[in-house]
Amino acid sequence: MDYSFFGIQVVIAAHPKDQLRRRLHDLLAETDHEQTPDEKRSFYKRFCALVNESMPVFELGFWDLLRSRNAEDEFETWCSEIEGSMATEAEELGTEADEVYRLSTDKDYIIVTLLFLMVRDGAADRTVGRRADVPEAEWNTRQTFAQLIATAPLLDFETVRADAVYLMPGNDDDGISSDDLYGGDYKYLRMLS
Amino acid sequence: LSDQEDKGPDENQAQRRWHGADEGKVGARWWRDDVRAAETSGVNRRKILQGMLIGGGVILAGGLLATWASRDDDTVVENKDSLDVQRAEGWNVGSADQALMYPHRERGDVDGNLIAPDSLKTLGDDLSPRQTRFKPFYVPTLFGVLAQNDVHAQELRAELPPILTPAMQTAFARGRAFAELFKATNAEEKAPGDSAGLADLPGPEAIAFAAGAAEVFEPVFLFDNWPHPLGVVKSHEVLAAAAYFRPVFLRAAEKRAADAPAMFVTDRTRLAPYTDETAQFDNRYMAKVPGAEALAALGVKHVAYVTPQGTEELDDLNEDFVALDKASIDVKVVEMEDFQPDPESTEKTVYYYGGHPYFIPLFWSSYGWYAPYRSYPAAPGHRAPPAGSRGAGYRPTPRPTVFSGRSVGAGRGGVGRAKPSGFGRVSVASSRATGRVVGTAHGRSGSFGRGGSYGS
Repeated sequence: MDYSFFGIQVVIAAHPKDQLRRRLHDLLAETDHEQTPDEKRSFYKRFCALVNESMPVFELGFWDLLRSRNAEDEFETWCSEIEGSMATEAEELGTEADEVYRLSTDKDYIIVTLLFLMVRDGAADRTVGRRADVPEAEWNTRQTFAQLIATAPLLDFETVRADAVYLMPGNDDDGISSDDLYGGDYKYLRMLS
Repeated sequence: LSDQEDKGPDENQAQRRWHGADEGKVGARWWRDDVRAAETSGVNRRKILQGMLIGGGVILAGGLLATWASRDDDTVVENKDSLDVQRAEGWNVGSADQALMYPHRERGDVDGNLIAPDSLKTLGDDLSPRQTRFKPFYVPTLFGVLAQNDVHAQELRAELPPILTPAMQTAFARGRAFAELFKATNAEEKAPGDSAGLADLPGPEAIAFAAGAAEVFEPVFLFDNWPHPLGVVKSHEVLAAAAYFRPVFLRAAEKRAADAPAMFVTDRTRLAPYTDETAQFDNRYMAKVPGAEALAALGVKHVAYVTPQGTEELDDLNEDFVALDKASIDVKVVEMEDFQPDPESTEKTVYYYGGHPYFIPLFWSSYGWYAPYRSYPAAPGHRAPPAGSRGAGYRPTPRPTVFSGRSVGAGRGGVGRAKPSGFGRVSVASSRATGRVVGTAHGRSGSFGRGGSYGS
């Protein structure tokens, strides 16, 4: 069976008081080990609505729709890189800047990532394709990102082989600074207008 | 770190393979082994992906959209009452895949307590009038959606957050100030119980105003629709506001006088413009206010029609108000703008008629409904009294509206009125075989029906 890969990552300038990170975290923490397609749609509806509330402060982002034999590899690569990079141990946190993970102790940003591996030409694949059909000039606008994020609850999860959601940082104590974002590892991100 | 959860797949369920949420990690990855292969029939015809581009974009062509009118020959297109369709198919009929958006979410209610979704089932009961004489006029429609047992209502309850907007905060303070006017201040003085309020404010503000006034006025809610993701009327915000203020209403009910006057409460956006059948859902409704006979039976001689600003009633109330006037029930407008905080005080959350307690007597002298016994200190010379309320000079006059001449009932105004044609209705496609709704006109550019669940 052939697959398509769809991935979207958005950097949100999160105000510490707005509780966005905490609310997203709580939603993710509540996910079940098993999910039916309806449960999955319900989860994404809530999660994506929360993310899109912050559309005005989407700052950087990246999205990709890949319809080739590399789709599975692409999905695995994204997942493994993110899962491997998430600061999750106590020793990775702290108030001092960590040269490996964080260049500054400012904690102004959160990063949300949604990844899908879909049956090629299946209903979900077609939905993404339809929603991603925007002029090139609009590829990197906040509006387009919000539209693509809002696509997740529309997917027919009967035709989604795998999906993943990540939120960085993983807790209230750690964070991502502007130095982190503009410093190197995130250079693939595009400025959103 | 990554808790591999390689259990055997159950049918129709995605298995979580990685989960980082237990120790500060936040993320999840699911996998399923029984994905449905792409349908081969029709795929080429409807194929919309024409290419690919790695690294930030896609090349796409096509843009094929399902055309609802030509979907199949087994359906018939009908125009039905929106609420009837929602009751039959779920509140979010045709848009089950779209989320409601809530402004200014709060984590808990007014007391800071988290709201259990199932507790919302009783919201309608909690907010119903305590006095038997008001119960016939209570319209439980909107709150009733939370008491439904279907999966869609369950989802609505699960996702409903309490909200508190800045406008709601102001409306709450003004509700308290309005109620203060009607309070008896000593044993000799009887509160003006022959008056009723009709708060006609944007939904969440109407709830907040009623909450602010609830220790003096018994709220009687008139919300007569259900929310919808594409709804013209954002009634889900009314529900969210009511969830926030529920403890206030419950406490006020215990403190309020047993014969407290009524505050009828409706949503001023109920007649919002409906312009695009494909992008909107018509959940508009008409306010069902008691008629002259019923109000007289309740002992009501005066009605304070509370508006945000302006002294004209909404179209659906014109005939009702004219009828009240003919029956010698005095209707006057009270503009929320007439209530302001004291400009010389640092306390900006307490509002007064005219901006200071000094000016409360001016309300009664303007409206002429009541002569309070209590004395008030004279206003200091440097404080100019507010200009007279424009609302006090209001008198309903008949004017042609789309609702004119549609009274088919008798007695309780509004209850028996007919809607104008096309008002509060939705076009649906129904199965010829079963009669079930298989699609709706709204949101038809891309999906037809309940997120593809029907008839695809």
